[in-house]
Amino acid sequence: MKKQLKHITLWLLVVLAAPAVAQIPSLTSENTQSDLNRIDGKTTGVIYFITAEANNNFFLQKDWVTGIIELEDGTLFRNVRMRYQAHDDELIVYNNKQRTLFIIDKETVKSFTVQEGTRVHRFVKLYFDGFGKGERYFRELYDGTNKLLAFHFIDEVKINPYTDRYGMLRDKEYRPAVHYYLYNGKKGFSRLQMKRNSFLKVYPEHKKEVRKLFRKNHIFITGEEEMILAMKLLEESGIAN
Amino acid sequence: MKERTLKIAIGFLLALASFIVHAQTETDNARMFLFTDRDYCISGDTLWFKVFLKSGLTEQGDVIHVQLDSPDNNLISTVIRQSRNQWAEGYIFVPDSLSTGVYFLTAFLNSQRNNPGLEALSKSLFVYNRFANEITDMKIPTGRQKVVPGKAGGVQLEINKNEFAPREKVTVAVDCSELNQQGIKNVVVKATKIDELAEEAGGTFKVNPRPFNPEIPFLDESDGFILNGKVTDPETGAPKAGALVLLSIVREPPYFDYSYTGKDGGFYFFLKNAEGTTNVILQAIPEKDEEYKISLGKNYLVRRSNFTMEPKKLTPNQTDFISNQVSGSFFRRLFKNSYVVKPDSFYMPPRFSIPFYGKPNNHIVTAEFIDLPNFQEISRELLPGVQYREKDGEITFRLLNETQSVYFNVEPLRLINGIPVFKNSFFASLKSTDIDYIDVVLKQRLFGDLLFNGILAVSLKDKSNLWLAQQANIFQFSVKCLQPAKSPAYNQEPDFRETIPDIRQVYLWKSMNTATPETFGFYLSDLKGKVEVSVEGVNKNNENVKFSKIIEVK
Repeated sequence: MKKQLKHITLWLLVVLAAPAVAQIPSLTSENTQSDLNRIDGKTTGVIYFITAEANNNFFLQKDWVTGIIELEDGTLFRNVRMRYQAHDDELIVYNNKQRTLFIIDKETVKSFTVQEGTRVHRFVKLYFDGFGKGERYFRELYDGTNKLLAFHFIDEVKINPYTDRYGMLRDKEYRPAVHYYLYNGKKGFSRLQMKRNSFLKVYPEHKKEVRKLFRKNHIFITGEEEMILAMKLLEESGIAN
Repeated sequence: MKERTLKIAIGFLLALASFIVHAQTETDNARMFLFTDRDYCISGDTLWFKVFLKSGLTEQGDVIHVQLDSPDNNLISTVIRQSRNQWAEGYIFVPDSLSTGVYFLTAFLNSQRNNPGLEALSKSLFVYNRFANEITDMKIPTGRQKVVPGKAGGVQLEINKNEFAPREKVTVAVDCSELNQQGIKNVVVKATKIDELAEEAGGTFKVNPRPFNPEIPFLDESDGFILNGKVTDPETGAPKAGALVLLSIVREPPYFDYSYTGKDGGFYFFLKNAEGTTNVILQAIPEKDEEYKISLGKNYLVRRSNFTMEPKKLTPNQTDFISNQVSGSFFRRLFKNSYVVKPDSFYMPPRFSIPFYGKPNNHIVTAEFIDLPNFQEISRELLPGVQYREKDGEITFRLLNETQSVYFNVEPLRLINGIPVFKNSFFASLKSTDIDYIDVVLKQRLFGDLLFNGILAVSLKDKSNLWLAQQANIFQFSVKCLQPAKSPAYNQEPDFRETIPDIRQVYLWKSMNTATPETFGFYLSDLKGKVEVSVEGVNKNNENVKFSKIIEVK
């Protein structure tokens, strides 16, 4: 009896193995194409020449990071080496076939996501109608009925002339800066600062409720996390809808 | 103890086996249900179809291929149609010259071709050649598992009468609320003349097809389709591997793409949101002065084993029916040319707000300037950053690299009407009056992995592209892209002038949402005989269900 049972078990194992072998994994668009040159879409852009000055001062990320680019037509490009160049508000991408850097055409990009260590940052392209009109990349902190956005840029500050370690005379310094915005599809952009009062100014008709909400939840707006939490609470309470 | 453990193990394995078998069946049954407006037609007719995709299939793409082939696997015709909400509706032309016989329609998704155990459903179509005199025998399919539709319970089909006179109005009230509760959201309602032969010997058959060209990528086709072809040596027919193939579609802004051929000389392009018929220009770029031949391929399935066909002697009634239909078809063509589907126009929305060559540094509309006699004058007067040199009869172009303030030392990408040009002499005789606009890009640009050292794009007023004939390795093809939405003319009110015979075989062909009852009205034609009014759909168990009533036209 035992022997028979063993035979049945063995036979069943063989039978089970057969369909497992027959199941060939389906080839999807992801594993049939290379990074930037895919059958269902190509990235386009202008060749970019990086200088030491740009490398040290213009980029939001200190080093090249891996990310995903989503084009306006929905095409996704994964595992792309890239860096956000905050000085000119451009996305610089590495093309490994041509071994060159290029500025991806902003008109074609819908969003991109970069992985920095354990943190994932998503950038979206939106038309900014304030001073310096045009399409800009914004880092998306919160995406709900409203968007909480951060616009990174590099401030060129005039300083007293000095000679750097290479013997070059310099009179300016590059300082990374950020502007926060609240974006609503209907109302457009509202500038926000990392201050409690700035939130109160955005909702002048609900000042009392906002104050109460922040007090109850111990929100003092001292960092991005608190800004996100504040935005979430404002939407949940119906103030920001 | 050990025996008990073994028993438990067997029990577990049996349960696992049943699960896997079930899962396997689901994969095998990853199929579509094809409904046609009739089971027979006369050669030269247009057949209308509706395809239902079961819910899981929609994740594998939304573009459906429908093919018409012969029992011995010869492709007759194929169309590509995009589905919406699990349904695709379209039409397929049955060629005029198709001989009398039984043919098969099969629907599939491109990604399904990868499934080695794919089980598809092929629907028979009885075609009678319009020049056939008297058909007394035919070959009919046998030895295949025929899918018999289950009976749709709970369909209320009320017809105002059972017997009608020709040209009389029929009113059909359909209530499928019970089907809606069973999860059937949409059904097909049709009224058509019955062909006893097609009813008896035809139907839907289970088949195990394989891809005709397994080299075509098994990409999930969503909003677009794969255009495939081959580059070969024109003399030997040997495939050319690693050749660069450029694709252009002349439109505003121009469409451009490229592909490299594989070992078999095959190339593949994905045309997104391209609807209708268009001319596609393909050129293969040789490494030396070689000549290439480009041909386009078809993407279709072939059955692993052919249908077994057996001869069948037709009854006098069946022969009479066919003869009547054939002569009816002649009158239909003569008097009802509105039934002929008009040729497709082409629509392809631009992918982005800028052309594929990017934002030009200069966009020159030549009409805004004085007339200039040739391109040398145009480049000198109107195109800053463009060098046009003529030496020993050779013309060269060099564009300024604006980023580095030096001229590129290689030719830019030259385009005429969006088509890459490699013979600069084409530009020489262009007058400013021939040109609509010129775009100049003074930058080094990337398109995928292709590097362009500046771009000179000339858009002519004349888009006929007759100059193409003078360039080597360039081919123009008329390509049928995604089929645009159309509906059959017989769904409209018929023309009831006494002098014009009405020989329609199909009276009603509509989709219906089962949530609300609907009443349909249609007029019968001059044809007498049995008319079937039916409601068909697919239930939750992915079974074809049908409910029908027969009315008599006397």
